[in-house]
Amino acid sequence: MNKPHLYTLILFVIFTSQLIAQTNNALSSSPYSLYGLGSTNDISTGTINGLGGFGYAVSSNKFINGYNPASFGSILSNSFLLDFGFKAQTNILKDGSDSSSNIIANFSNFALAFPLTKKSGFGVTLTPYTSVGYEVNNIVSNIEGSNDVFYTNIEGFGGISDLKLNYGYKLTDKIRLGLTTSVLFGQINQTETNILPTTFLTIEEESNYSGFRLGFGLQYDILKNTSFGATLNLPTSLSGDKTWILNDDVTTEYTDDISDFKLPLEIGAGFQTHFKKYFSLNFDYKKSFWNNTNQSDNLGNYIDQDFYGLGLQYAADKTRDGHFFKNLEYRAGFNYNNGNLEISNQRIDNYSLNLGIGIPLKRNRTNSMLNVGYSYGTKGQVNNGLIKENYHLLSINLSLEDIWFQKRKFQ
Amino acid sequence: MTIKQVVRMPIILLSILFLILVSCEETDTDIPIGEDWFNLDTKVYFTDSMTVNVSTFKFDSIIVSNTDRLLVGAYDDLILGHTKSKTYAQLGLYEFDIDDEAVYDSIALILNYDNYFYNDTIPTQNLSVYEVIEDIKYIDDDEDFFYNTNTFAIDETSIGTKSFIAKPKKDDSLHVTLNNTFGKRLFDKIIDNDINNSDEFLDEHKGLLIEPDDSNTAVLGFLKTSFLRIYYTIEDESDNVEGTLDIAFNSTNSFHNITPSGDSNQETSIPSTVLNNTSVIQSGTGLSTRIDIPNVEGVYDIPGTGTIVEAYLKLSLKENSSTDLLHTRDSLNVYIIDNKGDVVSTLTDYSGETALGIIESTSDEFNEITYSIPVAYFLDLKLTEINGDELYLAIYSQDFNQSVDRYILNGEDADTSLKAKLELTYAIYDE
Repeated sequence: MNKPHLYTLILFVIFTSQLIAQTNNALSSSPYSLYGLGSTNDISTGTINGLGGFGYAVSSNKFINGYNPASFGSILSNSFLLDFGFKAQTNILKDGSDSSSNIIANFSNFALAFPLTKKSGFGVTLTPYTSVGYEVNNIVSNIEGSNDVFYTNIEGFGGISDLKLNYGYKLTDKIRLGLTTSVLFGQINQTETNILPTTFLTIEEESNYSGFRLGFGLQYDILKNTSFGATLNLPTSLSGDKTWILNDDVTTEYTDDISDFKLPLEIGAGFQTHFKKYFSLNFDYKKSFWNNTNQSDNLGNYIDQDFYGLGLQYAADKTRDGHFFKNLEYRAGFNYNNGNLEISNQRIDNYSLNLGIGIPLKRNRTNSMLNVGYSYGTKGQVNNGLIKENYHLLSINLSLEDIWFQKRKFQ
Repeated sequence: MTIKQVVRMPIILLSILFLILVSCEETDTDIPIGEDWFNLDTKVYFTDSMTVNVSTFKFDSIIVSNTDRLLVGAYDDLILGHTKSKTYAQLGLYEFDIDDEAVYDSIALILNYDNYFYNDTIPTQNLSVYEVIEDIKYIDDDEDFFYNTNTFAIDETSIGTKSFIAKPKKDDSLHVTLNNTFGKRLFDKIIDNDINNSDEFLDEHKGLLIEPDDSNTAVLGFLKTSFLRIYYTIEDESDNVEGTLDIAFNSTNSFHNITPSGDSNQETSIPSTVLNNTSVIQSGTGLSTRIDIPNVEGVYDIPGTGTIVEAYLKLSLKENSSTDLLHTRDSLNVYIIDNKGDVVSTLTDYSGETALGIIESTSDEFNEITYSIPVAYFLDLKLTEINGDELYLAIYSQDFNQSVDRYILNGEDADTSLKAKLELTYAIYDE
């Protein structure tokens, strides 16, 4: 193994351990991450963050497109792709009369991909699948059987990580097929401090979840400049156990299996078309069939969720001596989803506007690029006692390409 | 620059940048809003309707060795009847050299007051002193204890009586003159060198019994520094010199015998429901209140997995039963006992600290006094121990072997808001 690859391996280990370690810290700062397994991660690799968040029809020949395993069939020979992601988010929360804000910054993904043969490619992505981070104070509850109340402060952190093994195969020049296996694992922690009239009761909950999920992908280049992509993620169950650590006068520990968390069947499809030489447009749709999971949280039910993504990119030819701004890629996107949770007959929907810039890192023949994305989004609403959450999200993806097996004399 | 170098550079730079960013991570996630729509998993229940059975039982005997004081006296109580305490005292003589010319004058028992007394000291109290005619020693050779039930034979002829107004706070001691036949006998044996050491003294004199009249109205506490004093005179040509010879109480072999009242015993307890909805505690006689909480498992009827957050047993004194004369104290001792009435351990909290019944609320106007006893640890013990359903609480008075305080407690069916009850707070955390 030569030196750069050794570095890559070391970095993979460092970032993997970082990501897993980070699940013990708050990766989210949304009160909505109270529900289920937390807030679903909405950050992806490469350029996708500036293009409405999806890219089912986008190939992986310049960067890693983790959304469709079929794209791994399009990795160029001798190309070795890496992607490091980082995000920073600030949330502004409103519930009618009050508002508050917070900021959170963290590592968001690691991915690598390389071709196996001329017709197939393989890749690994490690991303947060969900993230949890909230603190809710002074919840007032009645002590049943008395006129007294007790107050509760709740703090949550953690999340589920998604380690995906992607395999893409180029069936023909136009059709690529993909298979993805997700290993989902993680811990969600909640610390609940109950303040009773004359005593305290602290309950720490550690929920561990793990499971596998299979997914399939297809990409079809319909026309020279237009591609179609589709994915199917099978429903699965994450099994879990939960440990309660109770502290009042004495510390008690209690572990029990908890009911599986079911992930729904997900179907996604999208188009990408290139036009006027430098422009590309993608449109994506995904549906998550939560109804069939028959799950409910303690306040709301899980319901079918629709996602829409729209992205536009301008990328001029890169020239060695070109003007800096001419070499940049410019992106804009829009994303909407109607939420999978219904609280008080209100859906917690979410929409965001994305802007992105791609900065080529070196003037050479690789596609290494620093992708900076900015999103402004809103989640929920102020009506019916719900919270409206506005957020600014900055994502930075370092998408690197190395050329393997190339002899120095060709340079 | 080779491609490898190109790739290597940003990775190294970026790894540094990332590690800096990650380590600078700021998470300020305090969300002060949104509590309105949050539905808590944890549920807290309060109940004071769990069954509590209050009864009275009496320890067959209690150890009265090594007490700080000796009790002498009697009193009558409307509820408990007659209580009487008498004291057996062994004496020790350690000084045998008295001038041969000394002439006996008199003998007296000097009883040093302890500051403890119970009931009414205003009426005249009477007591009689007798000579014990058998060795005062442990009844059971295997045990180094005197019990409140131990007695020793006496010469029925009194060697002294005393009628007095007890002033335990004002006076240092009570002076009981004994008869001179007894005093001269002891004195002569010492002068005549018939008694030359403490064993010979004990052969001659086994000890004293100090017994109150049944008509007494108070129980008085005396210190074990009390003694017998012989007064004598040494006649001189010019002047008479007066001298004394003190014979001290042997603190190990002096104890009080307290005559119990009531007809309960250690293994048979009298339910409060047949005792006018009361139970009693009396120190000295071994009367204790037993608490049975038979249905702790009832907390499991609440659906879900939970924990006892707090549990307090509330015991109130029967109204107007605590008076200036028949006074009560600020705290009660609590022990865990088995179904035979034997003590398993003192009641503690989870950290092993001794738990007491502490006065929680008082209303002087209505003479309402309620003791609160933390029993969460005990309830957990009942739920987890194999023989947990055979564990009970025994409520004692403080100074259980050296006082005669009595408490009248309301039972579980008392027709008052101050009846005995268990206040339990239970939290369900896993539904």
